[in-house]
Amino acid sequence: MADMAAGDSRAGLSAAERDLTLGALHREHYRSLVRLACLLLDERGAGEEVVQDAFVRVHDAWARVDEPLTYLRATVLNLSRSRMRRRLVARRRVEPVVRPAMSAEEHVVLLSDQQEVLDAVRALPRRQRECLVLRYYLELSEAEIASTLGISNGSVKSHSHRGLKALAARLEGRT
Amino acid sequence: MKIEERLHDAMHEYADAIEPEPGSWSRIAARFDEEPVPRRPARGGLVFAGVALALVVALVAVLAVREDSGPGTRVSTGPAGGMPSRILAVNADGHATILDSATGDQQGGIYEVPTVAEGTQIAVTPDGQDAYVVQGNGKEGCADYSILRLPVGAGARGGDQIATDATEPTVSPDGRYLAYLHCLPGDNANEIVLRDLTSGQERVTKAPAGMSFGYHLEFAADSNHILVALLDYKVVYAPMLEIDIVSGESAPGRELGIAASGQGWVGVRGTTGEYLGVKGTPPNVLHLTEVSRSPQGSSLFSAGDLFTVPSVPAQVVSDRSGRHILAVVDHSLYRWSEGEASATKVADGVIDAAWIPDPPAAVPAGKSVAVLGGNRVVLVDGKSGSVARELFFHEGITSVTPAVDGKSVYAITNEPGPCRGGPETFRVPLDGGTAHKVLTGVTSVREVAASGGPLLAYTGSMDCSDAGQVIRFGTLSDPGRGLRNPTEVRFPADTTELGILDASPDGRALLVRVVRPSGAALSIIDVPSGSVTTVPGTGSVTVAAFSRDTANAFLQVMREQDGKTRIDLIDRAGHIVSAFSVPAGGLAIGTEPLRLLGTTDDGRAYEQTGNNLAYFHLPGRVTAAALMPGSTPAPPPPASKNAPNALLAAVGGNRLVFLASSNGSEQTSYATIPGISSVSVTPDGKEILFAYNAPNSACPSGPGPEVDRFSLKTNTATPIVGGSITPVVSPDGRFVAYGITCDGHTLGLTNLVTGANYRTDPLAGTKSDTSANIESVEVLGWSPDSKRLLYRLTLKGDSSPHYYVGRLWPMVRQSETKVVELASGSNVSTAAFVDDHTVAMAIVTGARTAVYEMPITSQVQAKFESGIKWDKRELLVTGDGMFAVDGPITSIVPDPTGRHFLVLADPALHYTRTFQASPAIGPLYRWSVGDEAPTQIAGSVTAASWAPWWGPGGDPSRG
Repeated sequence: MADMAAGDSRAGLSAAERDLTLGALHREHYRSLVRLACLLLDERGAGEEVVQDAFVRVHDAWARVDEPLTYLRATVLNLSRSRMRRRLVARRRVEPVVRPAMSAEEHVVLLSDQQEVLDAVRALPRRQRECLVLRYYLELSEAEIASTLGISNGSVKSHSHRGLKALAARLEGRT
Repeated sequence: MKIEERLHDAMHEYADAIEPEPGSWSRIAARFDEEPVPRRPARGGLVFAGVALALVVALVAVLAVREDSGPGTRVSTGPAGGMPSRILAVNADGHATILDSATGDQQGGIYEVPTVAEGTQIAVTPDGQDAYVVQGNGKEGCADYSILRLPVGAGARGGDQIATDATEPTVSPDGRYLAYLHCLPGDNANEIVLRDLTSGQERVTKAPAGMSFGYHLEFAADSNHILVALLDYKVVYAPMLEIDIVSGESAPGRELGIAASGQGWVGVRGTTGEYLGVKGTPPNVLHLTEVSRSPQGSSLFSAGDLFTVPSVPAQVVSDRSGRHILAVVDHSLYRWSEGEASATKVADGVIDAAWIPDPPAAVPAGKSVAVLGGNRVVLVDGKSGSVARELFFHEGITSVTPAVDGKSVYAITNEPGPCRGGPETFRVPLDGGTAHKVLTGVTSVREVAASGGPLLAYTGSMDCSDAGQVIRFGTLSDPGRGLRNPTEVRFPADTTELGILDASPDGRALLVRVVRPSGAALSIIDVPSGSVTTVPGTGSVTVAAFSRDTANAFLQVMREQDGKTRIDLIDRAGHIVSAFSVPAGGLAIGTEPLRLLGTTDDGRAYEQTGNNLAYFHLPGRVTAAALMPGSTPAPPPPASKNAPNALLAAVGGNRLVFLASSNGSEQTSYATIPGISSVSVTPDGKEILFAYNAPNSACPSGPGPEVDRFSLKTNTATPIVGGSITPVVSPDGRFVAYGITCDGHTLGLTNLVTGANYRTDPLAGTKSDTSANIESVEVLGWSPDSKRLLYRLTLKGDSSPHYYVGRLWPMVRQSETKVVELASGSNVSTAAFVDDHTVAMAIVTGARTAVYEMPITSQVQAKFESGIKWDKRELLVTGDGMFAVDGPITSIVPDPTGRHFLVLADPALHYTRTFQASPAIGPLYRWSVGDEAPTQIAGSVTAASWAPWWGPGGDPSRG
């Protein structure tokens, strides 16, 4: 299904074929994209809204889309970024929202060490955070990350290296 | 661990637990047709800072509004509710089968009826019980067909011929009539036969001369009119007719003004009275046609397009509601539901189809959840019996079990998780909140209320090792610290399956199924000790659960040859106490007595309460179901002011021996003993004597009951005597009396100091001195002075138990029995000493048992020596009795003062078992002299005994 999404020429596809392709992308990647957004957003409920918005954006921009999956990922990243910005603005204006406490079972599976790692990732600069999430969660190659983020392979290497170094400094006391 | 590995693990642990809400694609697709938000035109040049600030503020405001609108703006595009869950379809080979209407999956096997002819119509009765199909003989003549009736349901494969030379069966919506075309000699001559399915009477409606009826019959919504065309082979346009066939109207009846066959009229839309037709050339649009039935006969032709199919349909069938329509087109089956934009292809290779109406919806008592189609967890409405809300969507959901708070459920999927091939467990809130993955690699889970908080237990190979299966359980701590002091029991490495089937209602035992190469068996795991006890003879039991009302027993599910499932209530020794049958399939247990929620092989959910069986009407194949817990049980009432500050020893319904304070509030458990049926505490409070089914009892006839003594200090048991039951320790602690079942039925005593054993004839010296006729001897109690023994005999050929008091010291010393019969009769359920001179007798009247006090001193002493029987009519019953409880009282245990009593009642006893076959199971009451009514202090107890006073030093058993 991924091949179908990545390899087709967009121009020759009808509206029905477009919807079929998007449906296939949804079946194949919706869950992982939601999880990706949640990693970036630190807000579970917002993840789904971002991904659904992204699908609609891809649908509307279909004629310009060459690689639907890459475009979709990039849109998720962009929308997550926008949403984070909006939240930062909103936080200055309203009282902070109390996040719902995790259930007992969440704590069973999410150990404090892992929480510490995630907090450290979310404290990284945006590009570093995105490179690390794409690399270590979606397990994309450097070329795929570069394509998704619209940056060079060298920049991916650079951001990833700096991000890991910062994490090590924070988590392991290394500099 | 490297930082990269930590990063990878942390992200996956966090994100992989996130499950999107179901129905996301519908929400996305619904937005595709929305007008795209116009892009803001690019601005050239510089923008003043003030303008920019205003735009930012405005943007934030707009976004805030949009966020607030949230999920409420989402549009559901799913099919309308109430769709029949099954379809009867005929495949290209002419054989009928039952399909899942949601998935098209075949349910059960294919009917063996051959050659169901294409285009000859099939029909299903409104109750969904019978189908009518047409069988041919390979030829094409009118007289070459016959109508068969097929039972609809699991296991049905054949049918009965109910009409010959006949085709086009149709059943009236009220289920009363069957109509069909009967072929007559001559070219295409035929007639309509109307058969009353209740009386079997038939009425024939003939076509006008020179004409015949068209080959499609349909009942109108009123169940009186038949819709049919008339053919004379000269006109192209064959008008549809409406004939009041039940009233005897003759053809042609009334012309409707619409065309028959082909692209004209094809069916009736449910019970709404509207008709369905098709129009246009392929692809056709099926449209709804309304036809006036006014006396004036002016047909009103109003069409509304419904959906498109790729070619002319061979058949269009509406369900009863008119909201769900099947269309057979080019040997493919399509399904359309009101509100859907297009029809969905359900199956290929279908030449004929009909909805199978679901049985009338049952209303489940309280909340239930079900898994539909193996991928949807739904909440079932406790009022309507329909799906109230979809809670969770995930492929491959295998089971669902409620959390103890009744606010969420655990759903287990078979989707491989991070642990190799391991399933995932989600906690799904019932309030519509997001489901969270809580466990991986777990194959079964149960949560149950326990004294320290919710007890969570789960099994699986959690550590991804090959070291065998593990069960882990512990109290769920608060807030969010996982399991508090979990206990882990690791089974042997060759264990291939370990599943929790149930947790006992009191949270003190887990029922598991263990499968190893050497065989399978049910086992009971004690909580919190983790000790494992195997239940004999349960190798073939795959589904079982503790009974909620008689918790010392549990239900085992066995498949029978006729496809039904038999549910046995058995005790821990494997003895069947009662049994009943349900249709088939899985089983879940409710919180109320013998209330079951199960699933059948063909994917329906049912509820069984006692003898009442009702099906749920759910749109889809039900693969698992669970009853949600009801209200939290009330805490035990406070102790009576008159109650002694004493311990009592009791055996819980799960065969757990425990000590409790007299109000039941403080309890200490000791051991789970299979088959334990009685308990008695030594006066020093350090030992418990009990009888149980010992695998190596000393009785020469083989394994049987055995009396043991159990040290509460060391938790060790020592055999006293084999082949014996109902041990009762004398108040002075020197002797234990019991009934002997080995090598004859007699009374037995053992000196607890010296270990010397005695046995004697319980009827010696009485007029009924027929020891050979004794079937059982049960010791009920000692007099407080430890000189008399109260016991019960059952005699061969006599169903009434007999109650006796014997003076024991002479009996023991001189090997003679001085016995008097107190009473007999099936309405006397038990007896106990109140004091040295008084006996309490429990007399069952209807559904209640009243306990009466009977002074015996003079009578017993006087008659004891002479061995004269009492006439039961001469019982000296005092006043209105001492107290009464619901259900037969099976045991009364006085304390040493004779002022306080432990009372066991078993509501089911009256109907299901005899005193000898099984011990009582039921609530434990305490009643003290002066109390107006007994106080319940425990739920399900099989045996109880007073223990010593609980003094300032605390629990004497720990001394």
